[in-house]
Amino acid sequence: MDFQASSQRITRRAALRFVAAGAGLTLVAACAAPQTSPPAAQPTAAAVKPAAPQAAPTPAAQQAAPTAAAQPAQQAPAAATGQKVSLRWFFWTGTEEERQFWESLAADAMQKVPNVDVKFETDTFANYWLRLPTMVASNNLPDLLGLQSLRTGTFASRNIYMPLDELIAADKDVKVDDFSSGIREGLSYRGKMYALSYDFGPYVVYYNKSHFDKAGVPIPKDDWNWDDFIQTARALTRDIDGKPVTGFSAPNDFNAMVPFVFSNGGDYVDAAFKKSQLSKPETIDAIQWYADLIHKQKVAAIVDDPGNTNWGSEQFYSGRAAMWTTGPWNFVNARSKVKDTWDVALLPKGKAGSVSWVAGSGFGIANTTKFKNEAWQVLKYITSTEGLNKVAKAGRGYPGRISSVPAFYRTDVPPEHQQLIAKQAETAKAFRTNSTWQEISVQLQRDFVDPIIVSNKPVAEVTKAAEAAYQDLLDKGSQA
Amino acid sequence: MALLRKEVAATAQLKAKVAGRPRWTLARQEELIGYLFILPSLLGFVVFLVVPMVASLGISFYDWELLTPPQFVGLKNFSTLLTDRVFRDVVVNTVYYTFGLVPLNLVVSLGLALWLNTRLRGLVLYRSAFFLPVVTVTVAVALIWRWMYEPRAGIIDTVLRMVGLPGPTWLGDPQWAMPAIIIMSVWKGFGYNMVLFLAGLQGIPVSLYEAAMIDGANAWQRFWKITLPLLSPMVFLAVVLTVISSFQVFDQAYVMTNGGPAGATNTIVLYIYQNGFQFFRMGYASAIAWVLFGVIFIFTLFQMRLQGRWVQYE
Repeated sequence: MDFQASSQRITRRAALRFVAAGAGLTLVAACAAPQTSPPAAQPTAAAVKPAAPQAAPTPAAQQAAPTAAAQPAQQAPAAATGQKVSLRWFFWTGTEEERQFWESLAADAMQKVPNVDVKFETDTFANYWLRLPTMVASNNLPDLLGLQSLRTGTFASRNIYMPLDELIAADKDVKVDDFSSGIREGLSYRGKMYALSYDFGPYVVYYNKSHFDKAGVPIPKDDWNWDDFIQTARALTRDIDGKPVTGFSAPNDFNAMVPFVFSNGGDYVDAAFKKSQLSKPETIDAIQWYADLIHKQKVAAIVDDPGNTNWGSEQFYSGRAAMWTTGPWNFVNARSKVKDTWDVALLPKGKAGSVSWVAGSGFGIANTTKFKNEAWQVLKYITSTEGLNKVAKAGRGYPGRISSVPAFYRTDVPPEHQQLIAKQAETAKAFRTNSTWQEISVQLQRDFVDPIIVSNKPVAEVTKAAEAAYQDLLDKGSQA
Repeated sequence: MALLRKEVAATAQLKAKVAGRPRWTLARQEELIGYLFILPSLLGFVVFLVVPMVASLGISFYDWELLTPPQFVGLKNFSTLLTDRVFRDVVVNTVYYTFGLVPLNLVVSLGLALWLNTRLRGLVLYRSAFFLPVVTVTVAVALIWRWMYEPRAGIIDTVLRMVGLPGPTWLGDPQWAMPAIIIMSVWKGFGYNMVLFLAGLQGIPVSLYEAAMIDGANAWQRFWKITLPLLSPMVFLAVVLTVISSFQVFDQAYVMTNGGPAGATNTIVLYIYQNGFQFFRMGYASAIAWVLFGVIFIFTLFQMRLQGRWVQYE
């Protein structure tokens, strides 16, 4: 056994060498895949009550079967043998209740769509967007996928989702016009639609009504303007119940600035998504106005924990700030976390009116799916009026379909003026993104938002320094 | 997998041998059994370290978005690094962190090790308490420290105010964010080196101190002439390990500041993470990882070279 003996010796030596080198090399592998699971900063975070059992059958119930027979040969085997088609549905959740809600909706879909088995898979919001690319890379993409409008540019541009336009055109009863136009645009990229929305909403003003009453400040009128806003905020910046309160919560968050930019006639990018509009005077003025709320008017608190993406909401929920801007997806959170009475108001009018942005989330079909038509039937059910009524009733979100909005309204809990959401949405624009938007967000935070909000540098000066890198990323995105 | 198959085959042979004809020497038998013992961790090492490492070297020559097929770009990722302003900033930040943390960590851990070495009562209790932060999850520690750094209600500024000092906004101030992270990291990590030093201190023969005292050496002289020289191998080990881990700082910056404000706490590994998983530039991320590896390698080599000048082995 000479051969064995010698090969063994070599193996050992090689192994030892390996181990010695490895001790140092360990870190490279560690760097390649950092394994921290960070806490999720979740824009659409919402604790959900279990869905109320719903009896009312709607027209959506009968829509399932018709197209199945006329399908291409690819799908024939499953249909022919009468086997169930197994679909995987991947979507983010933040709580056990949310998971249960979506699973119950999946179960409903299985009843309505014949011969499908829908398996719901989930992860946290942050992990969802990390796992999606790895699923693509490992050819393991589920059939139905969640998509958030702020990430449409990033993910739809990279061929993960299937454009739905043909399916929509071939389907008489999907009625896409029933979806609010802002969210249709938000879930579209370069003119093609990649998801049907389940929830959406515009940024509006949340306010602590108890604080208003205690300070003797009149509640906001629908046509209030920026000066009224500052006056109101100033009157609220005082001690209430022995605790210091500021008028407004102004986080170091680009998304929170944009409604004011829009309302002032500014923008962050041109219509073709090619050229930066940061140095447009209307944009600079609006952002300076926002920063001044903190540093000059002193009606908003200094951001003392800029790494905390929940800073803005914590200010409002805890009662430290009397007003805050966010979307209706935070109704559920505010209901459980704000001890006082609270309500919503329209954004104050700037030079260009009260112009908000809308964002939301929906579901699309993976372009790798083997069961395009079954997936479409399930998607159509989930986002049907019946499906979205369930979403709305469970408080999971302000429904993307206008016909489901009535199911969202509640008279027993705040906010009293919830109808203002629809009014704000009418004039709102989509928050548009491109393929490099995730990188742009990080760049703007570092070079633009933090220097302005945290370090109190003049907006015009910061813009000059930050715009070139931003334009560079816009260019890269346009080419992609 | 090939390795596994080989071992399985070897085991079978071993069994056959034990059953019948004794062909192998005892030494070879033991050697084989030894391999079986290290097999589980060797497998883990190969699967989770060697393979990803080799892969990352390969990936560094590609443009790969994860979502689209990779494209070979040669050395482009490495040349891009030279002109990347953000990369330059994260290197500066990481070096700042390393040079701030390592001396502080050594001073604190050595000081406490010396104190614990005086055979005081409740040694086990103190030692465990000081070691506790090391085994606590960094993410949890970072969250707690974020509250402690809070300028109005946080305990640190409250204490500073009580003694009449104006506290900075810490994490909210680009000037103070990195020092804040360094302070937290010292607290989190000193226990490890302290235990190393404690072990080293307890290995120094008492007779040396007795002899020195008879010769009239005071405490200060005993520290410099006996303790430190005999502890130097441990100090060397501690410096090398702490420098390596400092260059890889990630969790603290990710959880406490997410690299902000204004990029003040963005580190090399955080930038690797961002490039790989947020910007979809796996190739570029891999290239940075290998550059970091190179930097640490050179640094460690340099320390090894200097070793002869100050490290004394008994």
